[in-house]
Amino acid sequence: MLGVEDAVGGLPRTAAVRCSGVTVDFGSVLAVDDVNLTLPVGGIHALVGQNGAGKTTLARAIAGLQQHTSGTVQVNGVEVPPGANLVARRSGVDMVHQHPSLIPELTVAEALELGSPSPRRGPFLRGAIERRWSEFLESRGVDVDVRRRVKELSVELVQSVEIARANPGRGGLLLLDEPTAVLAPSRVEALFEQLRAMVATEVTILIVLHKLSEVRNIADTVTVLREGRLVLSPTPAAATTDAEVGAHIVGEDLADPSPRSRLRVVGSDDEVAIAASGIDAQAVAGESPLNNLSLDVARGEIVGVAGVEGNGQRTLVETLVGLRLPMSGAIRFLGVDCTTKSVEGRRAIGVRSVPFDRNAEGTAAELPLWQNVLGWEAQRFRRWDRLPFLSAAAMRRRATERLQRFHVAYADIDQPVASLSGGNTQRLILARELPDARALVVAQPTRGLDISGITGVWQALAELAASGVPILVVSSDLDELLEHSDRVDVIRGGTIVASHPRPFYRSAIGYDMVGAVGP
Amino acid sequence: MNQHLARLITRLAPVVIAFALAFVLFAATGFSAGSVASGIVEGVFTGRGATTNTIRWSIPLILIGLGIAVSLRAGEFNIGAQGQFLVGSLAAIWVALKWDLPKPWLIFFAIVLAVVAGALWSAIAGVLKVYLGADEVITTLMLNFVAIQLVQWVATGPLRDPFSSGDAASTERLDPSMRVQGSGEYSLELILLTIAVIVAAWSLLERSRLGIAVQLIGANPKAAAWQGLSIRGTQLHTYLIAGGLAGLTGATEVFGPAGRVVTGSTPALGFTALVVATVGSLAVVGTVAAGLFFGGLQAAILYLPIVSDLPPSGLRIIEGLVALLITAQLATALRRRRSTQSPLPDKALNGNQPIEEGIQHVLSRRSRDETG
Repeated sequence: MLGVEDAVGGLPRTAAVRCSGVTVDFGSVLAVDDVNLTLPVGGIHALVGQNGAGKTTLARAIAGLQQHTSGTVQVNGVEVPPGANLVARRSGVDMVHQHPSLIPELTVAEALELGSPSPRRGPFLRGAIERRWSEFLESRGVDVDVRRRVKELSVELVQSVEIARANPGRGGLLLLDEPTAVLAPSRVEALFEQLRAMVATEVTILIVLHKLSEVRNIADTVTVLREGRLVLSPTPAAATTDAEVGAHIVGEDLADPSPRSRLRVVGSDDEVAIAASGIDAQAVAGESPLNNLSLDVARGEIVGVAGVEGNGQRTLVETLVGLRLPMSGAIRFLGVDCTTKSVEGRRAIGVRSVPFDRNAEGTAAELPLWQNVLGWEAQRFRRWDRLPFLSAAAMRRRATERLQRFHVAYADIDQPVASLSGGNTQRLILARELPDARALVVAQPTRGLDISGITGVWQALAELAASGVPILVVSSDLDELLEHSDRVDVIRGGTIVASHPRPFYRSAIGYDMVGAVGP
Repeated sequence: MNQHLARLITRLAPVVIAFALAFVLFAATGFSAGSVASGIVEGVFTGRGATTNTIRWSIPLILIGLGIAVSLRAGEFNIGAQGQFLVGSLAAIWVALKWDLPKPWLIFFAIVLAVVAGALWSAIAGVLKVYLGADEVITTLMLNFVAIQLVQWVATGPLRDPFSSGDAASTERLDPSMRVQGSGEYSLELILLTIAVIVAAWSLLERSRLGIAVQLIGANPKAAAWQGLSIRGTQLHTYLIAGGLAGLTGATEVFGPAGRVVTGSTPALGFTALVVATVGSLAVVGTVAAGLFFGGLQAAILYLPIVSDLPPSGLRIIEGLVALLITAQLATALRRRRSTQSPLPDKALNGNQPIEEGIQHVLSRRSRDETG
């Protein structure tokens, strides 16, 4: 869309992007930490790393969509002040977000016109606008009827329209945030074709990717971020191995020296307390479906499930908890067949769960603490009270006991959960789920918590496991899984591809997580 | 304590503002604000039969409003109370006119049938919503019109009062000896019944398993699902409760102050009750207080034309303004809640992100165009 040469004059450009000391501080987390990155003009550059490694944030900082707190960003030799999206765009950068930004209710032509840097002046003439965008898309090799509504188009078609729109033109830089995440594997190659065609027109591309096989396929260089820091500067992809990149992604290639201090409660060794076998299940939106997934957890064992996000973690947890039923396979808790049991039925035999999102799924923000900490259990309050109605005093007493036992800091048992900090909210959920648990499924137990919160959560889980309860923990934080699990299963493409016992080798686990060959 | 006071002020603010706006309007259109105000006071409290009328109108509003409060607490926007009330009225009048039983039995069966009829009418929308996902706002609203036509048919056909006609067609009247209350009288029975329902509703909502489930599901259905609560079952129950109470009100009206079922010009109790429940912040005590307030307003609406030249629609303006202001208040609260739902900068936790990102994107393009 934009004549970049005009914008930057005839200046010689040695680098498409030059970041020096770029830091983005979110207050409690350093999302991007002192990154020095220089990308040469031309070619396709892959940016990889675990979830939360800072890839998206860095890309947004380059595009001026995210204010960096220190350091400088230069695009085509022009400095982009923090958050200066306009400057970045004039210098020839554009970004395609992970989620489509075209407005679904509009037609393609309308949506493009609305977001256009140079909308047509004068009255709104549908025909003229449609002609303009139809020619525009045709010139960029995208074949679509611009009169159709965006929501009627397939995901991949919307994406190619967005890429065509964002294409900064000759000499520009295009940022793509995980474009393959929304695509079926068979569509990825078509996307890559579109990108290669753009590179042929002297566009530089920085692409955030998750799969090493895709890096191999498309990228000229690969760059790795870990915990916000640059751990591998742009390196020619051909000069690296998957194992090396995998090791950079997950960290030191060392056996973890700190085995969990507690011994497994083996007891009746052949009693598998949580067992899933051959599970097939339809996917939660944006994830892989479960495909013949099997796993097991013994009594007193903590099994971590590691994986790149979107490989079926949520589907797995929701299937185990009973929120969705598998199409085939069997689920047993404590020897009881639960395959077709409801959430309530599973809870009745002692299955408890900690959901992914403590605010959206774990608690009801405006209800008081005591109702949240009792939750499902309030249904059973006739145990304390033979009358048909529940005793408020008994419920409050029980709630207070629980909150104190799990060290939730609060002022008033009637205050809404919304007034608690993240760590206290998570402790409240543990106070609800742990006391009567005979088997526990935990998702993202420490996401967004500070150090003391994290320690508290794992301490509670370790105590529970020590009492013989089997615990399955799904987390995108590999470090905490390595530190606290007895075993780490790796999920990829909706199935458990490997089960690693202690001592853990990070590179081996990392390699299984990203997988050299797609599922 | 201060917190409670602040909450009370927030609750009452729309009412005060509505009155203020309405009086500005009255004054601007040449009515004497003073005489309107004194007329309202007389109509609600001091005039002849004023308290009786206030109670007469408060009772149905409270009964229906409590059912609506339960429904809304569970997050079900059941706005079909008017239809459920009418169907209950029809069941009651049918028993009253066609069954030949001693008075206590007649009233007993009339109440049972009215409750069942209202509950089933409501359950139509409930089943459509819970099992088929049909929007309950649409279905309950539409069922109101069906019920209105049913009343029209019954009042001009099977149970027609031969002396009524046209817009005010009505069913035959109940024999006065069968009623518990004549017009312009108190009915101790109805007051006691209402108090019993208030106590039952409070116990149900605040102290029962169902009430706990209703609150949790209304506050966060996802959290309720993770905790194994039966969402469909609970929601269906709220339809039955709301419909049952509206149906019950049909019976109390037939055997109480109305004595018959009239088409057309009756005050739309079911809709006013929706405002009552909302103003009462869906709590039992609040709903009762709001019911008394709007009962008084209704009494004043009927009384005012006697002492002032302000037409009844003048006070309907106050009713409408209160509803409007409450809605505005709820809307901002809702928006605030949505924006604070996930404070983390993590897109996986933030469902609104794609839309916001999209808007941001469009805006950044726009602003660039304007400045450059």
